[in-house]
Formats: sequence, C-alpha cells, structure tokens
Amino acid sequence: MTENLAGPTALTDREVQRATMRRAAERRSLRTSAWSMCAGTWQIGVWFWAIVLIIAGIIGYVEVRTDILDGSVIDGVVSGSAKFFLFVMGIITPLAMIAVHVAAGGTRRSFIRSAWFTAVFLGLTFAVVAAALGYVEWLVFRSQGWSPELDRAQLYVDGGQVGTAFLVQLFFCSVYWLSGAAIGMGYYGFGVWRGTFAIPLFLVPLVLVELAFQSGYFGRPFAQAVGLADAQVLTAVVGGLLGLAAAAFAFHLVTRSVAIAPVTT
Amino acid sequence: MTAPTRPEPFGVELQDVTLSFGKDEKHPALDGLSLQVRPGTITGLLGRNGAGKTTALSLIAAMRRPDAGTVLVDGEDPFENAWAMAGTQLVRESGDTIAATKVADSLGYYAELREHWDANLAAGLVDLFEIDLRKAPESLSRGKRSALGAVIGLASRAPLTIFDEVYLGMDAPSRYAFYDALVEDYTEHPRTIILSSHLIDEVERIFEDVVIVDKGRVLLAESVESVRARGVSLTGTAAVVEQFVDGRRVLARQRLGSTAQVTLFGTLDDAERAAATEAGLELGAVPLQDLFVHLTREERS
Repeated sequence: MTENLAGPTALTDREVQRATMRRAAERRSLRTSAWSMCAGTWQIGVWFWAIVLIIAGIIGYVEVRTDILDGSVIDGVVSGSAKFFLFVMGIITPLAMIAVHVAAGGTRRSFIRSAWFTAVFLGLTFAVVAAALGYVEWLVFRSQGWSPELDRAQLYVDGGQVGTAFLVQLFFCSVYWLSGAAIGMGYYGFGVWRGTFAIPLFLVPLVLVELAFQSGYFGRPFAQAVGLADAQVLTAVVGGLLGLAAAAFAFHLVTRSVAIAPVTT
Repeated sequence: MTAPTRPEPFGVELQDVTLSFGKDEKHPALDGLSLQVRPGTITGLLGRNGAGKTTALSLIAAMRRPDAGTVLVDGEDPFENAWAMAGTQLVRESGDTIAATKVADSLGYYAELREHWDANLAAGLVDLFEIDLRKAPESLSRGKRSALGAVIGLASRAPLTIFDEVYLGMDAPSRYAFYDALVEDYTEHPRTIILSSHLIDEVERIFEDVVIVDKGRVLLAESVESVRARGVSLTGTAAVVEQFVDGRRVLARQRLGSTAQVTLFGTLDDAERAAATEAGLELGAVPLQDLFVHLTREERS
C-alpha cells in the first residue's frame, strides 16, 4: 500500500523539482546572455560615442570658423550613424554568442528573449545619450545665438524637444539592432544564398520604422511617397511598435530551431 | 545560501534516429541509429571519420534536431528543454567559445550558466594546461584551444558531459594530464561521460562501455569487458603462435624477431586455453583498437 502511494507522490515531487530548475535555468541564461550582449555592445559603443563627439566637434569648429554653421551638428552625425552602428552590432553580436550560449546549456528561447531585451535596452540607452547630446548642443547654440534647428528631422525641429528626440532614437536604434540580428542569424541558419535572398524580408521592419519616423535621407521621401508625410508622433509610435514587433518576430523565426555550428577559429 | 542539489547522472537513448545534411549525400549522416548510454558511466564512442559520431553527439546536446527518430536525455527530448540542456555539456573539439574576446570571458559565461560550475577546478586546470586567460581563444594554439575545451567540459560538472575529439592538437603530456584529471574528477563527482576519440589505445583504459558506429549505424554497443571477451591475443614464439592460429580469424599480427603477437576474433574454450598455455603462449585481452579496425573494415567491405 505504501509503495502504491509513494510512486505517484515521488513522481510529482520530481516534476515539481524539474520545473523549478527549468525556470531557474531559463532565468540564468536569459540574464547572462542579455548582460553579455548589452555590455559587449556598450564596450564598443563607448568608442562610437567618443568618435561621434570628436567628429561633431571638428565639424562644428570648422563651420563656426568658416561662418557656415546652419543648424544642429550633433543631429547630423548621430541620426545617421547610431542606428547603422547598432545595425552592424546586431549582425555581429548574436552570431558571436549563439554557439557559446547553447553549448553552455542555454536554450534558443532564452537567447531570443535576451536579444529582444538587448534591442530595447540598447535603444533606450543610445536614445538617452543621443537626446542628451542634442539637448546640450541646443543649450549651447541658444546661448551663442546660433540657429539650433535640424536639417532633416520631421517629428522634432530642434534638440530642445528632448522627449521626441529620445522617442525617435529609441525606435530607430532598437529596430535597427534587431533587424541586423535577424539578418545575421538568417545567414547563420540558412547559409549564404538563402540568407541573402531573405534580406529583403528582414529589412521590412526598417522600412516600417523609417516610414513611421521619417528621419534621415530615406524616411522622409518614403513617407511622402506613401502619403504619410503629415503623420504625428502617436502614429509614428504605432508604426515604430509595428516595426519592432516585426523585427522581433523575424529574429524569433530564424533562431528558434537553428542548428548550432561549432565555433571555428 | 545552500549549494544547489547535485542532479543524478543523465542517461541517453537514441531510437532509430535519422539525419541527412543534403540530397547529394551518398548515405545519411545517421541512418536509423539506436543506442543507449547508461547513466553514471564513461562511454567511449568510436567510429571512423564521417561515421556519424559528431552528428549523434550534436543531437544529444540539442545542437540540432533529427529528421526522424527519438532522442532522449534523462528521459526527455533535449531540444529546447531547459532541464536537459542545462544538464548536458558538449565540448566539440576546442569547445564553443566567444572567439574574439578574452578566454576569461568565455569561462565567465560558462560559469554564469552552469549551475554546478567548479571555479577552483577550472582555475587549477587553466594553470595545469598553461592557458593564458588574457588571450582570445582564436589566438591560442590548436593544442591550447583543445585544452580550454577540456577545462570547460570538466569544470561544468554537468550530469552528462560529452567530449568530442577534444584531444586534437594536444601534446602527449597534456592528453595524459586530461585523462588523469577526467578520471579523478569522475571518481569524486560521478556523472555520465561520453568520450569520442580516434586515439583508442590511449583512452580505452578509462572506458566502461563502448559504442562503435559506422555509416550512421551502431555496429556494437557493449561493456568493455564484453567487447574484450570477443577476442583474445596470443603472444609467444612465432612458429607456435602461427601453428595455433591456423584456420582462425586473425584481427592483427605483430612480430618482433622470433616473438609474435596475434589478435584473434572469437573466444577460446577452456580446453583451447589450456592447450595454448601448455604450448607456452601468453593469453591476453583483445586490444579495443584491433577489434574496432576489424569491425569497421568488415562493415565497409
């Protein structure tokens, strides 16, 4: 009788213990992977921002000395480069991490979630820096009596609109990083040819976010072409969220069952 | 804070597993492969190049999925299974590392993810193998990279630890240091270990079970004692040896001056053993390597 009762009870305890350990393992691998990708990107990101500041300083100095200063310098340097920097880091970072993550016992599922987290974290932090630099520049320009207006921005006219500037950079940086990650994993999982053919699909989130926020060289003509030139911030945020969701889904799609090749050096 | 409970060693079972890498292949990488690995043993996985060893191990470690068949680790499908994956450590050749950053970063990653990671053991082995933690894995020599893989495998203390040809590029002293460390740690912290190697002579002493695969199928899966009992080696005067083996299936022959050693396939009964001993022949167990060569050659012919 005792044996009959002990069987099911023991099984239940075992299952409960395993479920607890599964959850702990998932949390541990998500945390470790997210920390590695965020910290790894920021290690290089510090250099990126240092170079941005140096270049903006040189351009600003030359424009002031030659009397051709016409609007924000920081925005011109940051708007174009931050998202592309993160796009490239998005391609590189998950590719460098996926094999060691799975080999160390992490699931692809936790890796995907950590990549989603990383995209948003990098978007937030890069947006904070970009908006802060824009604001500081706006203060300096105002104190010097220079025009702080932007050349190409659509949703905000100068660095004084910190909140909007932050929002724009948040979506651009997050979506560009995640789309880069999807492209990188597409090559990893599908190989060179099929990975190349899949690129247009992975660029859809970028098109969405460029359309929604209409910044830079591409976004404004895109938006005009499809009649979205007068879209407001709320519409832009909805478009940005759609772009982010599309990029997150694309990364999930290519990573969820990917075969892990050995790291070769 | 209490230390995490150490889980029991994992068992492994593959049932009729098939996997192909492309239509152009002459035969699938795994062709209905079935095998079992007993929990708490050191199992040698042997096979010629392209036999399917690495592919089978990749499936066990959830690196990929089979086309058909069942893979079970500790009774569960390991693919995207947090329990099975957290308890399985596969070291492929040099181990999977973050190639471009410091060795310390890769070890740190494993230490964070592996619940039972032994940092002291890892540090001791890093010293033993003289691995520079400040270097990137990609800038280490082939042998040092393999030694790094050995460190990862041993320090992980995973209930299922798999070494897939981890010796590549390691010099003999390093290889023997690895074997010694493996046996010592296995004795103190029992777990299931699968060791794939071409250096059969070196590692057969530590195997408890052996699985031989060829062309994606299992040729033999037995305990080492059973395998060794499949044959016998005879050493003695060449003329006497040749006279005794006449008409029997010979796996290997070696001769040094007037002394010869012959490995026979099949067992000798008590009368034959007594006759051999009386004839001055020394009887020994069959070397695993001879049997491996014989079985895989026979399969291919």
